[in-house]
Amino acid sequence: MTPRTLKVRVEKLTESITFECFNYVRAGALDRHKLIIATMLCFRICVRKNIISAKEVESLIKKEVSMDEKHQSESLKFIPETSWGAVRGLE
Amino acid sequence: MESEALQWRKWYSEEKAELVELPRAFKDASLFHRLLLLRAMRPDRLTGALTQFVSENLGIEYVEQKSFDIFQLYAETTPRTTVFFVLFPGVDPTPDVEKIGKANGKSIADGTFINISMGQGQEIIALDQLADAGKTGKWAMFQNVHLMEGWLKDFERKLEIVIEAGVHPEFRSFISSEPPPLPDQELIPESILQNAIKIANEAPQDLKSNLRRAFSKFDDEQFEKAKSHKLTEYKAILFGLCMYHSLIVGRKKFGSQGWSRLYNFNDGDLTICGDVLHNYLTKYDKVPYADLAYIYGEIMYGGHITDNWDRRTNNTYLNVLIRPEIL
Repeated sequence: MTPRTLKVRVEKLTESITFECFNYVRAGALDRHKLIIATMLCFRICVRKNIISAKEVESLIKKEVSMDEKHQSESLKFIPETSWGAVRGLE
Repeated sequence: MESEALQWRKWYSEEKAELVELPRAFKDASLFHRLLLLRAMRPDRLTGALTQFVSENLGIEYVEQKSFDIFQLYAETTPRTTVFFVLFPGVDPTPDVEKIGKANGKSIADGTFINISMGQGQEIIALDQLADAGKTGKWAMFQNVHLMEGWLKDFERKLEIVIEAGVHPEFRSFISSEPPPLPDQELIPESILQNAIKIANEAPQDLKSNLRRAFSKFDDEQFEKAKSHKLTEYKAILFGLCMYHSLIVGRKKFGSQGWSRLYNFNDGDLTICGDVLHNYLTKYDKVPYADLAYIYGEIMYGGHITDNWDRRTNNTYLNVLIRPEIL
């Protein structure tokens, strides 16, 4: 087996094992939890692959709200004040 | 953001913001960064966006599930693995299990498939049958085990003994149970859950399957009974009633946009309304549509409703569905 075919093989195996495991778990999960499980799995994989950073995932889950009273310009007033804090939190 | 305020405003008021392009400066934001923006500004669209994100990164098969295949389930079972069905209103796994039983030569008729619905007085019988099935290679199904919390410990032990004591290769066991009312109530012994293949197959929530389920509550006997008064009217109004039932049950799915409060409309309401219909059709020569609508809307289903606007919604459905034109 050449290194290249080995690599392809490992990738295929990883893919299929991931999916079969997920499917097994999903069969026993309630509908409203299925997306949550899929999302958590997906984020974990993306972080491992360095597609996204763990810190960003953290802030998506926690929703950082900026507390300092930076002004919201008139043209952006259509965003409610509560959401504005979260927008500032992204910075 | 300020420099593109107009575009942001447009994006913000978009119905499906997760599918629309972002204003120019953010156009190249990654899918994940879009999630962050949605989280901050449009939390309502996050579920849709997450579905999209998962299917882009892992594949569509992670968010869309194929419908449940009982034969595939059988392929995964062994004598040592129990199948654990989570019960939902309107779902009964028994016919499915009987189907694979038949395909494997196990049926209730010739005694090779044992089906016990758990309840008072079944405790000892069930344990004996389990032991017997394990030795002789029968199939055993125990339904509604959530009703027998104390007994489950004995069951857990017995199942262990059966499996350890050289189990027959054809033996299979099935359990069905309702989920506990609160998530932190742990009724089912852990070892059973750990060893079992767990199946949660929820009934689809669309109008069609709701309607079909509502209809299934009325069997031939009901229609026989209707022959003694007005069969045509009975059929028509019953359809209206079932349609109404599935509509208002379906509305619950939309949370506070469907009903202002959470109501527990249930199958009991439906069957009792069916009985009311029999009574009224027998008692009066002319069909009292207004009376029926009143009883359904203010007393039977209406008894659940505590909000005036909801009552109005409810009565509007009835006024449309329970009327002479339905014939």
